[in-house]
Amino acid sequence: MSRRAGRPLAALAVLTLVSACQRVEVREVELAFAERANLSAPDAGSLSGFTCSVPDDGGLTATPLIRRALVPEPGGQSLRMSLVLQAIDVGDNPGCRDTKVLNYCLREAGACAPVPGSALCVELSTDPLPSTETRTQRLHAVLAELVHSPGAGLSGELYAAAPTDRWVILRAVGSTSSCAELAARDYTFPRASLVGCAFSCPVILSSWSGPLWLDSSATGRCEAQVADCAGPTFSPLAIDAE
Amino acid sequence: MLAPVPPPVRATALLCLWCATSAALLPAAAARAEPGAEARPAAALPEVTLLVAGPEPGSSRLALALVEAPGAPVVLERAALPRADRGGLVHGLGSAALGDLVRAEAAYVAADFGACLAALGDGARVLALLAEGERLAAARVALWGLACDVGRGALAEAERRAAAFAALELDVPSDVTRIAPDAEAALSRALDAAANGARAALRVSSTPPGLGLDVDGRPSGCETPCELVLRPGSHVVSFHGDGVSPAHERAELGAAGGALERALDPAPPALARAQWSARYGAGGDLESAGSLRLLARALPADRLLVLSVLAGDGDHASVTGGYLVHGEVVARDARARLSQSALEDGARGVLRNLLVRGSTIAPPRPVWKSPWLWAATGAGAVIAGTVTALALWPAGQRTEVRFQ
Repeated sequence: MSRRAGRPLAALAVLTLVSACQRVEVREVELAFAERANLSAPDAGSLSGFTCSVPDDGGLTATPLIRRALVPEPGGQSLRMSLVLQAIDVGDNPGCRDTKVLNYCLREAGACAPVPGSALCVELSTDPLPSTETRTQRLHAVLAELVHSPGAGLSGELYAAAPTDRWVILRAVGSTSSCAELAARDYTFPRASLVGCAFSCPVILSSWSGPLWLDSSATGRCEAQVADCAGPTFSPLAIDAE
Repeated sequence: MLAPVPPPVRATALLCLWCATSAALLPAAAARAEPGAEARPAAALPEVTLLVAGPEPGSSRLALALVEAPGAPVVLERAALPRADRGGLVHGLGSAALGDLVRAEAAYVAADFGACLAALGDGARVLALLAEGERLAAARVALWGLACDVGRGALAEAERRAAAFAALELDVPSDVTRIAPDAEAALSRALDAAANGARAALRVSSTPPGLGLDVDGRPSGCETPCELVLRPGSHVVSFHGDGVSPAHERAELGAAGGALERALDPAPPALARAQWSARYGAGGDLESAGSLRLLARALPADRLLVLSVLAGDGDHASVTGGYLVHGEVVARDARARLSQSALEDGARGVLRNLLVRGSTIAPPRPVWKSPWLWAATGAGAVIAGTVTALALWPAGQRTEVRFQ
């Protein structure tokens, strides 16, 4: 073959090899908090899994868990909490309905443990809030806005520690403990510090594209479910009977 | 966000890439497979005489285009059809004999029989005239010779002349009324004897065979090899045919018969031109084997390729061709219903086919026999395989999990 004919072929081969070597597929999984309607703040909503309350002594009344995050300050009360994202290793795909997930984790003892080193902790805080914003319904909206606010919240935050090659559930736990405290406890959450908990469907992240919702069906007096969701083995009691 | 490419889309893209690679490489390989594309030294090219016949000026332009086309695999030399004249066939007629006969008759009347015989010439003259087809002149020369011999008293010689006259089956000319009665009687006796005598067979053959024969100035109606049944005596056999020089042979036929064999010389170009003009010049079958052989000899040409352009219906024309190499027609070809714009290409195709069939040039090597094809296919396959392997190879993948 002549040199003239060989040059384009060689160039084509080199181009092919170079383009093949440089071919790295970047896939993005978008984490998103599912929200529920909030009558007090129709625009902001409430984060799923963060609207539970705990019965007071005697059980006649209940205190919303989000109020645990209110910290008195000279100018008023501010909302301050840590949000911890962790990957729960489920080993298999039990299905996406939360009852299925929770029953699976009960049945497969020890199967739903957090992946070591997978925690991402972000501390969220607001300036002192006016008294009108500290009502419970408004607090839910403030938290939702805070989570989604660019810079101060989680918007755009990269979860680099996520294992991408196995079945995992991503769990978001709100706690009044600081990230430092939680890291010192290896991200085990004091029950009294829990503000809320939401989790995703089981996924293999490398095979997933698009939004991945962090959600929970717990509402009302569901502090126990939040505790189970945030527990070290992610083996909560079933929320609903199947 | 980048979504993974579905496998069918990737396969289609690869197939297209493979096809594009092959399409890019195959024409180059095919071009290299064409022997005409290879440069050869002009000295090695065979020479072929090209003759294009057809309506003018189109046929001349076509011939010029074919001869001057660059990259031709042979050296084409243009030739023209011989002019339609018969000059080469004009024989020496017996006009000289007519004057001699006048002089012989005058001498006979003056009883100067020696002068009479001298004017007529010897006995071979009769055969010479017969060889030229001048049977009447020959008969008159023979008759007056007979009369002069009778007049001078050479009766034996007169009898011999009479017998020869009868053997040649010449018609008795009207001059017989002007000769002496005893001479006429001698002739009558000889004719009677010959009429009642036995005939004999003369087997005639020639090289080349297939030639026409005239016997004693008359067409025999057969071609060599041939057996003629004649009266015993002296005869003259004339051989003639296309592409050979005519020849005459004297045969002395006895009662037991005889044989005659003659090798003829090829016709010189001038004679061949005349022969071709006489036979084919008026629009005969130009590409027949006989025509091509005569033309090859007339031009002369070792390799002669003749193309005929025939006007068809409308603007269409057809091209027929014949190819003769060393005297043998080796190929014929034709293209029909060619438009005027396609005429030259069609003629070139006929020309190439004839040259290939005549083994003057090698046939185009099939593309699949070209090593370049397989090299190109191999290279394309390697590239396609490499691209396929690389494309199907799991790409480096990075998954980013990010909050909205």
